[in-house]
Amino acid sequence: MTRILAKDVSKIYGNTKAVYRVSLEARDSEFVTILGPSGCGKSTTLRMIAGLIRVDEGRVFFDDEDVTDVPPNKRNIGFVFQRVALFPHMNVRKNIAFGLKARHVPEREIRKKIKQALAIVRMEDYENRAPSQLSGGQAQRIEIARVLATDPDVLLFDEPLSNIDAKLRDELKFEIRKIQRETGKTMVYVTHDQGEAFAISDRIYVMSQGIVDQVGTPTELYMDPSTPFVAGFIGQNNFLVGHIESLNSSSGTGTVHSDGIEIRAHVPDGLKCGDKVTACIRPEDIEILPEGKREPGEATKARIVESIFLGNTTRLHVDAGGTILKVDLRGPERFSYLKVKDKEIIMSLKKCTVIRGHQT
Amino acid sequence: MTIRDRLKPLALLTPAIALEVGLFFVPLAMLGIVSFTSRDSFFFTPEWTTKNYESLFSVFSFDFQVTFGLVIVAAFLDLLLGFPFTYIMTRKIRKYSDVFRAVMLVPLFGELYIAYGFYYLFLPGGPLYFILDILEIPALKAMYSVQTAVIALAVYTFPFAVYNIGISLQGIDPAIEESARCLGAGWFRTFWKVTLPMCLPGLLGAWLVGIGWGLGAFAIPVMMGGAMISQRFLSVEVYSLALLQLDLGTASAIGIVLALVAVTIFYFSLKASRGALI
Amino acid sequence: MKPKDTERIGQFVSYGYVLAVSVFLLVPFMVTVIRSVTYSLPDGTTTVGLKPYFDIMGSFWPKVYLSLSIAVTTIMIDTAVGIPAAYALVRYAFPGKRALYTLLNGVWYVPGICYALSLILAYYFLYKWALGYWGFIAAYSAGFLLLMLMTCIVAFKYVDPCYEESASCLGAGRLTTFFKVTMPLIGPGVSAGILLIFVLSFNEFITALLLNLPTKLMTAPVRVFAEITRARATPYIAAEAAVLQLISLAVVVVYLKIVGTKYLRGVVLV
Repeated sequence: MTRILAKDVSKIYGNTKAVYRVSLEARDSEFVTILGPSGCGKSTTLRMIAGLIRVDEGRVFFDDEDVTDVPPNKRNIGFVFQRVALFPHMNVRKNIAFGLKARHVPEREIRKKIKQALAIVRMEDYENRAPSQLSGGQAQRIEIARVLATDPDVLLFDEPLSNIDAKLRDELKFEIRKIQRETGKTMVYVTHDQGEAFAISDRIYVMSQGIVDQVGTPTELYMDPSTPFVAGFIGQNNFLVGHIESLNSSSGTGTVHSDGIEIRAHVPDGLKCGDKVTACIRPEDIEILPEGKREPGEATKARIVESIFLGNTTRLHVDAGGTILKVDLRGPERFSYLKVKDKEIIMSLKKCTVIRGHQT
Repeated sequence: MTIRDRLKPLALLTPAIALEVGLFFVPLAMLGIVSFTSRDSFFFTPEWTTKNYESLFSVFSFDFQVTFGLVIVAAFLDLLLGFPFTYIMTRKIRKYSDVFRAVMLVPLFGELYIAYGFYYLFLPGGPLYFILDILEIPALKAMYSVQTAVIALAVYTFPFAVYNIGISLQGIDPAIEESARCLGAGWFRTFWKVTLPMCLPGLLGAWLVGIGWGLGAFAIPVMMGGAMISQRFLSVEVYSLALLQLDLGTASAIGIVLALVAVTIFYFSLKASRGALI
Repeated sequence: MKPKDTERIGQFVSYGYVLAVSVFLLVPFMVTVIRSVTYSLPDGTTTVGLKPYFDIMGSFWPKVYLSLSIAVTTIMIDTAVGIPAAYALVRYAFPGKRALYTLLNGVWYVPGICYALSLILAYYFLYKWALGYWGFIAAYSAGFLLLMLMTCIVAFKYVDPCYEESASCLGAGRLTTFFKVTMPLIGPGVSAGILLIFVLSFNEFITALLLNLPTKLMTAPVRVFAEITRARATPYIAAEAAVLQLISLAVVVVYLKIVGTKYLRGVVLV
């Protein structure tokens, strides 16, 4: 039940800004995820919150206490690593007891807490096993038990499922979410897997190249990406690079011209005519209009170049005036376009998001 | 970084640094100082001179030649014997390879025992002569000869050479040799055109290492090699000058030069085998 | 010839060569042992037996004990000094680290006689108060420290820092983490350093020979050398040399049986 606040933290190695002026907040009992590709600085940020790495700029607060200069063993945190860090020379029981002994918990209490911790991760019978006898998933569960036993104020998980098989990963991520809900501890979670982040997080910080691109709930990030990176990283997107042709400031709508395609869309504040923008439209948001139905200004002509059947989706590659767009069809409609080529269609690009700048 | 951060590693290193400075660097500095005094004058009233170093080029130049000649040949012998040995140990055999590795440790026990063992073996009237008599081979006047000294030196430095060669052999990605085979090369071509060229820096390093350790030999040249070698080998020369003739000045001068040369050789051997020992 | 035959011959030749070279390396040792058990009886005949070993017991054993005690004390000091130093070199980054390590390495590469000579100069001139047993120990500790340093550095590199970080996050302070997590994990690596220092310091001879003058201590190998220069090659000398090698061999064999060659492989073995 602790609030975490990292304010303008930076970590600079020589000339490289691994993390630059990142601010992150996790409220009481919130599940916050830092999401991004490898090398974006997400692990570094988490380690600064943990105190494993010294902060070059900025401060870290737990509730209202400035913990920036406090070493990790005094911060009362529960850190789970990407690689299994169970002490190989101790069995499960001794591993879990370790943190409790470090906090001088009396022996009777220790035995009780070990049982409680193992019960939470549903591994009660594994007390006497050696780490080498555990599978990847089991070992990761024991690690979670080990940090929970010490009753930390916050949980900090650094890509804990990266080295776990895909199927088990699915199961475990929901278990982690469940444990977090039940214990009510504030969690900062790091992952590069967008699906994982979406499934279990309350809010997500998307990072790239050392800075935060956007913060929001999964829905907000998906529907309203604010930078080209977020638009490309979250889900699939078609990118139409162009400029604002006309703008109606009162209604906030305008037209974007891109390579012969004219799109009518909502234009965010702060943009004016002539600005370079990228129009993003998701493959599943492109609607193929039936022959007769056509509204002025929203119909775009295109020709189907390729049709790929993926099972629950049919993906079409269409040529719209020189630009290739991806269109995903779901539902019964997808069967109408199997093995179709060179067919002229009309699409509606209404659900477009316009963002500043060019996505390469 | 705060000052406390900088102090932590320093605190951990202080005992080691103090020990080495006090008992290694300071004595070496003394060696340098004394090398510029004549004879044992340092302990009474120092007479400063550079004659000691000058004599290295005149009186002792033959000593340098003999010493380096011996250790260079011995190190080369190590390469000849050691390269196939290491190659086989790291590539060809599976079983008992640990036993052979353990055998490597025996020469490390001491140069003294190697010297003694070979000394006794080649003693006139000793076992080798006994066997040679039985086989009716004319006796080789082997004992006090250069050949036996070289062999003994080679045995002494063998483990170090093997270690160096091994590091460079193991540094070769097996995939490189495998792809050579897939491209059609037989064993010999692969070895000659791929493996050996890649090993050459390591072999150079091993040769230099053998020379470096050979320079430190003492018991072997004293006990073997006869009057010519035992009085001409540099490390023995240092000993006799210092303790028998009480000429500390010259002894120190040779000592300093020997130390510098040895350290330089090791430095280059590390460069050649790309840091095998760090 | 079929490929399988060529392979068999290849294996035969390989094992044969390695065996031959190994035997050759062991020749000095074997010769010494054989000589040590071959002695002549009063009536002039030669016989084989363990008599020379019993004969040297009285005079030689105290020297062996001295060498053992020196070796053990050196090991203890080098372990206490070397482990923190290795830790600092591996886990911290600070300016001049490389240079410092290279400098410390230099200790090992200076030829024995140069180091020995420099030591007696220092002992006679500077360290007059540190003679005797502890002067000897100090010199040996300085000389062999690098061996412990190298093996510990390899041992620390083997151990992933995530264990120490994990312990820290679980609440353990630096000391607890070091003794309960780091030490058990680097233990085997440190044991390799202990073995090497034992074998090398127990049999060390050049420095001991020269240090005999200021410290008046005669270690076992020095005794062997003195005997050789005096009496050439009697069975007693052979027995003394054999005893020292047998003790070293026993320690090595026991170590290899328990720990194996794994931790020696970054340092002296391939």
